[in-house]
Amino acid sequence: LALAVIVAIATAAVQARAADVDRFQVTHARTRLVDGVYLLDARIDFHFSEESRAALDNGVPLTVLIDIDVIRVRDHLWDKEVTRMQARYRIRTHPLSGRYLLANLNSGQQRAYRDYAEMRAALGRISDFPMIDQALVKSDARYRVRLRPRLDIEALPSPLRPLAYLRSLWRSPNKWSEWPLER
Amino acid sequence: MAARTLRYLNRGGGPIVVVVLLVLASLTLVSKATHGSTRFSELYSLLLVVNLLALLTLAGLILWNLVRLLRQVRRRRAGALLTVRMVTIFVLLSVTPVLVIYYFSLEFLHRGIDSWFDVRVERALNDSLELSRAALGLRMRELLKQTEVIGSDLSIAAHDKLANMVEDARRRSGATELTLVGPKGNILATANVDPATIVPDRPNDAILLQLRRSGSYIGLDPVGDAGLYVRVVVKVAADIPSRGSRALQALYPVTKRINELADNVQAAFAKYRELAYLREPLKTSFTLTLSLVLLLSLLTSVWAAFFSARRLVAPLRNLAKGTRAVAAGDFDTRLRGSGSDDVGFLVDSFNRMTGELGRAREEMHRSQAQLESQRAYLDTVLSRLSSGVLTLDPAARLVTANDAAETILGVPLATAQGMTLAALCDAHPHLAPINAQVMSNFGRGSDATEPDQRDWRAQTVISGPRGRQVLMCSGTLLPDTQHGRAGQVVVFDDVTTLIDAQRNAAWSEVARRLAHEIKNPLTPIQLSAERLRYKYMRRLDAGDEQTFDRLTRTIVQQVEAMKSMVNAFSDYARSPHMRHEPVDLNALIVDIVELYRASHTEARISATLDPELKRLSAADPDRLRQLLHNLVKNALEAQDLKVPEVRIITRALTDTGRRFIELSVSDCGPGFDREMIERVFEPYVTSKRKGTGLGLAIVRKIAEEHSGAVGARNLPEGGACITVRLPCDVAGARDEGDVIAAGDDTREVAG
Repeated sequence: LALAVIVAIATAAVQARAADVDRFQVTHARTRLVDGVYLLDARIDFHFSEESRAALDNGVPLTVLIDIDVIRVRDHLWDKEVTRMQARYRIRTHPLSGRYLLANLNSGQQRAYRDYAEMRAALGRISDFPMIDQALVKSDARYRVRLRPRLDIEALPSPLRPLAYLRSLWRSPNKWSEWPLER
Repeated sequence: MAARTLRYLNRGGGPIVVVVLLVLASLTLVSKATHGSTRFSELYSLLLVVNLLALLTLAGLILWNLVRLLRQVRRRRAGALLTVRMVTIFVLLSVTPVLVIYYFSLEFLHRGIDSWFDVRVERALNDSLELSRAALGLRMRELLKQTEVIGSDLSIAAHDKLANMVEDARRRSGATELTLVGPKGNILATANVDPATIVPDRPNDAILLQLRRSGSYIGLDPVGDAGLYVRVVVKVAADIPSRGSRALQALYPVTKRINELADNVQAAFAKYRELAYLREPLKTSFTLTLSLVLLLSLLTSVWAAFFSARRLVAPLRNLAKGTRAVAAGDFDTRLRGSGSDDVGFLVDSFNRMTGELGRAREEMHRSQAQLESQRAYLDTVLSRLSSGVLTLDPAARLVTANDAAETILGVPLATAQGMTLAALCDAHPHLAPINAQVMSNFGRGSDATEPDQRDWRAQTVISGPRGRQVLMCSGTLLPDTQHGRAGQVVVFDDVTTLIDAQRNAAWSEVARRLAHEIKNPLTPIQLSAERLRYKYMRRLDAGDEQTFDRLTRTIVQQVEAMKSMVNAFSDYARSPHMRHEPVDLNALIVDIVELYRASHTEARISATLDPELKRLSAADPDRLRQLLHNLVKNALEAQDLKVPEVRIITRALTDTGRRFIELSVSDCGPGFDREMIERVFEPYVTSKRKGTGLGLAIVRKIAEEHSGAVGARNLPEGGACITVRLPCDVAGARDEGDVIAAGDDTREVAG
């Protein structure tokens, strides 16, 4: 029996590996200093796998997290994390209207989009995201900003989680995209 | 470290109970999480990981136990096979029903989940959604017309009056928000039911694109938490054509009741669709949870089986170890108490048994020590005995033999233990008379109860390495019997010397008396005969005188002869007063030979002397000269030939570790008579017409005085040979007695 379970898990994992996977890629990112606050503009290409699309179209809400870190680069010590933020979005469908709803969980704002592409484009567009106050940034230090979009597996319904974890085990972990903080 | 932890987990029931409780708690949480409990749903992944870790830990424990058990089986450790058997039974007993339950549970589970879904319900929900859409669609078309009317009104309105007109139109139409957007997306005028709303909801690019394509847009938008809104966007012609067309967006609220109903329908539909989508993952999830529960239960059962089997087998293993220790002779083994159950009773019995065995062994050791001491005492006594002692078992196998037996029989008996007497005889044929004697008495008297009937006594003569030996044997049956037959103890003494001494003493006495009784009257006879001659011979006539002379002369001559004979007897009977000095026998022989060559010129006397011959350490040269003289004289007298021949040979030899000088004197005469050859060394035994018959008797006497031995034999080519063997170390030989070996073809005659 144990052998059967192991074989089943391995098979599922292999299938998960072979199947299309969620790929979130930061295509553009820059920071701007506006009125003493560093703002982030970024473009992220959210490619949801067929599994995720199917779940979304069948009423399962998906939560997307975008981790944003500002780190100070140090020569002789490891880098120091100055601030860490997380932008959280939830996307779901609205069967009655046929719309895709994109909710910013940080602000509580929700917008409806007529189709998936529209919603995806809106999700991948980050504009004027306030990152860090200029006062917290030392002038003589070097800073880097990094960004990592990912799907929140823990927000999925529990039956979907084991497979999602297995899938995430097989694919490469969500990578950070890094660039220097522009002054 | 890991091994210690494993051992700790394997020890005692405490860890098992704790682990089982933890696993049960974890499984309960997983079960609740699977059933959709929000609280535990958050912990679902963590719980899964915890349970998987517990699973792996248990699997590791079982594997460790299994490896340990297999190692024990391979090493044939006590109780290992019993543990295997018990574990197998426990596992079979626990696995079989659990697997059956698992199978049916899965069936029920899958059917139960499938039963949640019904085509009719799904259709009803779809219809409800369609109905809602239709109801809302009607209203939406009305609102589109209404907005288009507003748009046409606004198209002709002056730019400065737009704001009032928009506000007026909003109020009239019942819209929540009415916004006029310019060709570049700029807001020309807006009115909201909430005056606090400064930023209006503007149509996005996609709506504007559709507007450009089809001239209007209508849609149902869920706006924030405010519920459903109908968004209508229509083109508004430009007041000045060159400015481009504008867009009017109106947001109409859906009535509260409709909103609620639509929301319910939407929520129910969405939930049902989500559930339908999650049907297979849910089955997988439940199956996974159930499998986890099953696996954990199974592995816990298997582990418990190992634990229980070990606990049950431990006292038995100790018992087996104890038994092995007892088998190996360790009676001090005591097992720890194992409670008051049957095994405990067994352990107590074992401990009592080993105690008794220990005491019995001590008793046995004491008895053995006593026996050893008695045996040592007996061995000492036996080794000091001058009599030979042999003990034989009922099969006539040699059991013990003392040193004297070896010496007397001339056989190394220490290595012959366990051999039958018959086998011993095959190796040493001279023991045959003893074997015959013993075997003839073996079966006799085994049933007898009287000591006289069990004992026997007989004289036996053997011809061993030491020559002819007369043994006085006595035997008795041993008390212990085997299969009705008893062993024997045989005691024997070498009485050869004693008998010889007695015989010699008798002869000496005869000779002494003979000399005394005969010699005394001889002198008066001789004197009388001489006086007769002196007084009466001249008185007789010539004829008588001649006769008288011849008669008296005969008397005198015979008396002389008798005297010399009596003197010879006297010499024989006389106790020797030996000198002890080193003697070169070869030199003595040369003297004698020269003497006889001078006096017996017709004879051929040869001497082959061994140049390596050692000197006799302590001998009487006069006596040895007499011995040689007697032998040569005897040899010459035995030959009635014109040219008698005498051969004297000496050689050095070693026998039974001692050095000897062997002297052989042989002739070419007729040899000894067959009947006489055994007695030639006795007095008065002679084949010659003249002589006293004491020559060879004296030879033997002189040889014995030098601890030597003599032998007589006939040569194959004719003639007789007398052999004298003298030990080089005379004193040593005298202490040890006559140990002189005769040649194979030598008939040794003793007394």
